[in-house]
Parts: sequence; C-alpha cells; structure tokens
Amino acid sequence: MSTVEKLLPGDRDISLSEIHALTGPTVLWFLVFLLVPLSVVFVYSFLSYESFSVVWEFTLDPYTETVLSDTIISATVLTVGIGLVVTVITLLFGYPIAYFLRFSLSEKAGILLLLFLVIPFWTSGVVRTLGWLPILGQTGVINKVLLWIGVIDQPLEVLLYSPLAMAIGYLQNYVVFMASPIYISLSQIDEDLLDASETLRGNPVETFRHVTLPLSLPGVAIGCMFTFVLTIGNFSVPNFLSGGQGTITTLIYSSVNRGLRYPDAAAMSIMLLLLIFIFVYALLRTVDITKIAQG
Amino acid sequence: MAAETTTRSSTSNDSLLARLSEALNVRRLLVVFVSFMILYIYAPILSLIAFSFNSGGLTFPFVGFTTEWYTILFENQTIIDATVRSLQLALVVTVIATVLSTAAALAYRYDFWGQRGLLYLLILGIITPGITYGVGASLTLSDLAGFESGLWLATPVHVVWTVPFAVIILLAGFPRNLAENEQAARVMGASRWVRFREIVLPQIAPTVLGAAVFAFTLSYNEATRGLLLVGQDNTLPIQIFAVATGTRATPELFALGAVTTVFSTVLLTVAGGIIFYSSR
Repeated sequence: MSTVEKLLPGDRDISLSEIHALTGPTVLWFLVFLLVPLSVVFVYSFLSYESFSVVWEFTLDPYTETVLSDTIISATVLTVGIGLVVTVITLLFGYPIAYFLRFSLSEKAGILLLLFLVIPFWTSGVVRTLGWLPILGQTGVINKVLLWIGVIDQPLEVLLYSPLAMAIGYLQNYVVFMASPIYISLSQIDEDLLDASETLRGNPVETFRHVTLPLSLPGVAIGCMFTFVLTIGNFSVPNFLSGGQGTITTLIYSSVNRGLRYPDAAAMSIMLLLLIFIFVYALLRTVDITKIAQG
Repeated sequence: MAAETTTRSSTSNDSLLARLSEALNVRRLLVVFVSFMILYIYAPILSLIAFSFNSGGLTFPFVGFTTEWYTILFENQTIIDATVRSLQLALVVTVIATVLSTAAALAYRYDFWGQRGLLYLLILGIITPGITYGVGASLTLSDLAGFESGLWLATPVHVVWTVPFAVIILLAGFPRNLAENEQAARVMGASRWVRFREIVLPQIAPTVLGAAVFAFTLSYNEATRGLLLVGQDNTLPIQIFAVATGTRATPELFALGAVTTVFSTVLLTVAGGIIFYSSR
C-alpha cells in the first residue's frame, strides 16, 4: 500500500523534496566513492603495463594473458566453488538457528541471543581465524581429546590446513550473517498465516514448506548473497587454514603488492565482479529481496 | 552436527503420527543444535582467551598460567597506535554512516521513484569484493585524484562498506506504523521539525543506535578495503594481518583478541541494555 496516496492534497510535492533531501547525500556518496572507482578499475583493466608502471595504451593483454591463463582460471574455479559450497553449508546450518530464534524464543530473547552471537565478530577476522590453530592443530584440543578417548591412534592431519579446516573457518565466519536476515524475514511473517495453515489442518511440515519457507526466501536470498560474496573476498581463511591454495582474492592482492600490476589486478577484479553479478542476478531473478524492506 | 542431520531426515518421514511425534522432538533437537552452534561460534574466541594465558604459547595442553603475553602486548607501541587509528577511523565512519543511512532509510517511509535502484546501489557496496573495491579506490583517490595515502583516505571507502548494512538494519527495525503516526501528527498541525523530534526520532532511536553499533564494528574490523589507501597508517586489522602473515600466530595476538572480545562484550551489553530499556 502506498503511503504517498494517503497524504493530504498538495503533500506530494513536499514529500518528493523530502525524499530528495533524504536520499541525495547517500546517492551522491555512492556515485563518487563507489561507481567512479569501479569505472576506473574497468578502464585500468584495458591498460598496458611496463616495468612497474601503468602505460596509458589500450590492450587486451590483462584479459588474454592473465585472466585466461591456466593459473587464474583454476584459481577462479576454486574460488567460486568454495563460495558456492560454503553458501550451501552455511544456509543448512544458519536456517535452523534463525528458525529457533524466531519460533522457540520470545522476540526480546531472540534479539538478545542474536546480539550474543554477534559478539565474537567484534574480534578481528584474522585473530578469530588464528584461534582455530590450537583447537585443530596436530597437537590441538580435538586431536588430544580423541587420542585420549582412544577413537584414533594418531593425530588427524585433515583437521588443519585442509578443505575441512577452511569449511570450519568459513562457517564460523558467516553462519550468523546468514541467520540474521533469515531471522528478520521470519519475524515479518504474520502469525495469522501460520494459524490459518494450522486451522486448515496443515501439519507442521506442510506449514513450513508452504507458508514459512516461501515467506522467508527474501532473507535466505540476502543471507546467501552476504555469505557468497564475503566468502569469496575473505583473506584470513585461505591464508591461515588452507593448505596453501590461493583464491582469486589473494592473487589480486599479490599482483598489486608485488610489482603494482594494476592492469592485471583490475582485469581479475572485473572478472570477479562479473561472476558475483551473475550469482546475485540469478538470486534476484528468483527472489524479490526488496520485500524485506517493505515488511 | 549430529542434531542437524537428524532434524533433516525426520522431515522425510511420511507417516502423519510419526511426524507429529517428531514435531515435538524437532524443538528439542533445535535446542541441542543451537547450543552446539553457540559453542562452535564461540570456539575460536574461547581458544583465544584460554591460550592467551598459556605460558607454553599456542599449543595444547596448558603448561602454566601467565600474563606475560599481555605485558608484551601493552608494551607494543605499533599495536597501540594501530588500535587508536582504528578507533578514530571507526568513530568518524560511524557518525557519517549513521547520518546517511538514517536519512536514506527514512525515505523508504514513502514509495518513491528509484527506491529499488537505490537499494541495488547500496547492495553494490556490499557485493563488490573488498579487494576489487580497494584497488579501484586506491587508483581513483591516490593515483588519479592525487590524494596522499593516509588513515583518513579510508573514510569514504569504509562509509560505502558500512552504510548498506546500516540501511538494511534500519529498514528491518523501523516500526511498521511510523509513517501513519507521523501522518496523524501532521493532520493535527505539527511542523516538520516537531514531527521529527516528537514522533519519528523516539520511535527510531533504538534501531539507529543498533545500526551505529553495527557500523562501528564493520569499520573497526575492515582490512581489505582500506589496505591500499592507508599507506603507513596501518589500522589494527591491517597490522594484525601483517604480523600474522609474517610470523604466523603469536600469543600476543591472542591476548589482543581476548582484550577486544571483553571490550566489545561490555560495549554491546551497554548498547543492548539501552535498546531494551528505551523500547519499553
């Protein structure tokens, strides 16, 4: 329902100027500080590079030589693969948390527990990632305990510097980011709808499948978007928990850091952005996330 | 993890009776699962706190209790400087981001042309990978516009990173009948300023505070976006990253993590207390 329609005659113009005043600064800020830099990245991805400096000459080399090289392609496949797998795992673990916060607790208790879950994220991601080392390491807590119980007779090596370690690290990082928007979506569900489903003899599973789940999809979409993008951009997990595989993010950083190869970094960045756009576009095609803003 | 798989497999059971009896159990399983997840989410933090007092460093088991790592931490001027810089940056970013995002979110009381476009523009700020944005911002601000590298050059970038999250929180947290209440005051002849001060502000204040706290955290922890802009003025996350990649984990970093956690718990408790107190 449109709020503007309910205004008094002549109010439309006032609210329009108010809207411009309210949104103008943010729009301007994002144009200057976000769209301009991204355009600059796009331009730089077509520039030449010679002995540690950028030359203003058009070339497709950053794309043909770097982006399409075997190293970068396999790193890209790995990065996107990690992003997708982590998103699915995080959704499977995050949804029940959101469901619990919404349906097993009162509103205040739900928000309070969510706040409590956010506390660990106030500690730098790097340090938080390092916190896993004494737990997962060869002589770490888990190995020692398992050895002591007698489940294993030598330390598990798969616990650290492995895909499992990365999954553990990523999930810890993003499960709350996934659960929060889902919780918001679940909170917006009209209780009457759930009662109606019950009255119509829908059992809990049917109610979940036909009422709760579809109505929570905007939150799921936002959570998946956060998780996918943040996973791809994460520095600490591939640096400290992987067996040494570089993701595309770490490769972009090193191409700038070692030798200021800006055109290469720009071309890889554009490709990364493109992949993210495809993912987000696919999500937005299936789910209308603006619903979460309309209540 | 065990609770998770059981919850899932239970939904595929077809007998109605079995489903009903399991529906009761689902709640219990959910409690077990969430307790497990809370422990898991806190595991690295608990590990930080525990091992920051271990005289044997970062390996299990415990050798002995020591506060040595804290002494070393507090004598480390580089870390202290970086912390101060991070706090300064996060404060300035929080103020700007809170003003921008509150204004933008208030516009969503109305339907307006471009409301979807604006939301997508904000989301672009989140979905642009940190490193892509970092490269773009450093090329634009340092190389093209010629600004000198330094702490404050990271301000616009951090604002772009924090505003979208703040707007999402505000939109989710604003009361549903905000526009109607304001409209009622308008009909009764309240001026724009009075309406904002007396009607809008009291209703949105707790959410705004929540958004501000969130913006502060995001800025304080952000490393990649500012990485190429700050020059020598390393912020704390950048400094930590530099130390950790150079020497792997050190017990001092664990001590630092422990201090941060305690500090933020106190801060969040206070903020949470204010929100709950004022929403009554």
